[in-house]
Amino acid sequence: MRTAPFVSTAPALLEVRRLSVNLGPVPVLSDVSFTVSAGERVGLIGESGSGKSVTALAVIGLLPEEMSATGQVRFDGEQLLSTSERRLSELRGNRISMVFQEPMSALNPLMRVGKQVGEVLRVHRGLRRAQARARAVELLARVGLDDAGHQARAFPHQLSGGQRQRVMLAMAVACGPSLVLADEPTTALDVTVQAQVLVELRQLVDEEQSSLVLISHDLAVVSSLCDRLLVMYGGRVVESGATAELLARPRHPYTAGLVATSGAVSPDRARDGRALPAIAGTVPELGSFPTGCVFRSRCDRADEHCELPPVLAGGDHQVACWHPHTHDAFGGPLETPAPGGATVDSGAPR
Amino acid sequence: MTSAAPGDLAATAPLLEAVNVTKSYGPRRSFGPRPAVLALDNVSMQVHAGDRLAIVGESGSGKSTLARLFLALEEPTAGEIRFEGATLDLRRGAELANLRRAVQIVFQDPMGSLDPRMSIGESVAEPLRALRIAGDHKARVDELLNAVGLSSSAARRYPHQFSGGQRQRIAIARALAPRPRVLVADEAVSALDVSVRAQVLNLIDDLVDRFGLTLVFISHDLAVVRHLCTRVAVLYRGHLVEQGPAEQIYQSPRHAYTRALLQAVPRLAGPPPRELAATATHAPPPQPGTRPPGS
Repeated sequence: MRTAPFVSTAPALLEVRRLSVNLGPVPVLSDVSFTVSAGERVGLIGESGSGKSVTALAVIGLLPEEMSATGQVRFDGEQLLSTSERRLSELRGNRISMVFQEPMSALNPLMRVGKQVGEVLRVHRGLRRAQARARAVELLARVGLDDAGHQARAFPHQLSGGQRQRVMLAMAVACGPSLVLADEPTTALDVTVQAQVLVELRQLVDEEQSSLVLISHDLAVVSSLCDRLLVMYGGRVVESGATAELLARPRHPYTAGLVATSGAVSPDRARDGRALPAIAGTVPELGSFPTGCVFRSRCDRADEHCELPPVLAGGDHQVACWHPHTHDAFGGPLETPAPGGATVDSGAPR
Repeated sequence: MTSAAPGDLAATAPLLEAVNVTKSYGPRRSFGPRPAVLALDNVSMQVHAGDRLAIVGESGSGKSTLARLFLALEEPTAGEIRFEGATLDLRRGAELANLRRAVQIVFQDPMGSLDPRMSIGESVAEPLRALRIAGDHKARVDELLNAVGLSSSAARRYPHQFSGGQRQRIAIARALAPRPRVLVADEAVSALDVSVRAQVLNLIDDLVDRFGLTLVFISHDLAVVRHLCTRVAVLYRGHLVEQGPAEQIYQSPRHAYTRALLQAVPRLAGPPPRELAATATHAPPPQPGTRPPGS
């Protein structure tokens, strides 16, 4: 059990380097690089079209056929992008597992859920039918399914959304994976159920000492669970850093906007009649993001510098921006944006 | 006042009111394998002019059913819906036309509520034609599109040419076309990207003030509700478990379910869910048709 913030010193379990994915001529991901250490929990935050789900699919080798990937995905030293489907099948559900948003479409509607959980163990661990059945019931009990012995005999449609997502969690951790990828695992659930499933997800990855990549559009959800955040926009990582640091001192104007909006909409914040801080414009369609900085069409700091793509740079707290926000040493409030973004902050990557 | 009630009564009567409303779906008598599903059970609620009322609850709470009853899209199984003090009767066309004009709704998914083959201009003007409202429809469409932050040229385009946030603006423009007094928003910002959600919330906030609208905001999101609304009603499995001024509900919630709901809202860098585990409700999720114990 961890209490202190995670400090990554161990060699990376997952190393993604310059990963780009194209859909025909349209770039979906561009030059995405990040690492996940053993036991680390990393949040991937972004809106529709940011490329966060595609990143996970590329890692696990489940990209749609019409997409092509270049770059490197190294898992425990093994290059996954070029490995065989057979090898990927050995890894998936075993050492790397994935939890999707909609369990109803990820579960087999014609198979009892206990059998589906057991199937993972029969395939990867060679358990016999009876052993697999018994182990499946244990796993279902562990993810908080009441009366697991009985529920194991249910078909997916007989369970609630929260129960189905627990079944997915049981399948994901059945083989004690090193890495769990969870793509919006609680987005389709009710608020109270979401809170419970997040608790269970966290306990499971703690107990299994698995690394977690949690993908969500909800900054509050990822910030409560993850040590480190990667902010994605337009198929690129625009900022990354430790969760507390990123929330207190967001440097990219997009992150700053997200943090401001998410902070202003809170059940703990009384109505004051003032307008919410909002990010101007809308998320462009896939393929129509601007050249150079992908955010510049919506950015109040954009100027001619931004016609060139900024590089993700910095130490533990990285940002891809020509005019990032700066903060005083005490983590004071954001300075007001320079009019027209005329000045380039000293910390800007050149 | 267009109400049929005497003047002194009309002054105090709520604009919209649910009186002991029960709504069940399915067979009328509950024998056989499938009993009727009780979506709302004896719910009473008042909406006064100028209110910003939130109806909150999870799936199966009955919040959307209540919206459908307020809009007279359905009739209650028992109890009644009153508009300006008069009981709604789906068989009385004139009264109904009056309500249709006065109460308008914005749904969660504008792609499902905008006709893909109608231009935006036609869609926004449709309620004007359907309700036989005279006047220069083209000018009114222009005015509405500008009010929701779109240019007049949007009228010639089609829904697929807009983003989710823009389509929701169009849906709001159409809802405002007949100059309603009540705007019902059913999870109107739930499907929007975070960065766009704030814009649409600001727009709704602004329009409610500008046009003196009464807002009925249906949502599962207690964070958004606190920002926008002044009164809150909490539904759980068809029961109204708590209602009152927003500040009272948020600062001293009385019902255990309201407390659980508030506690479950993810907070920005809030306490890790582990600390919530002890307090989060472990009751099964609300299922329509089942009665919670003790309520």
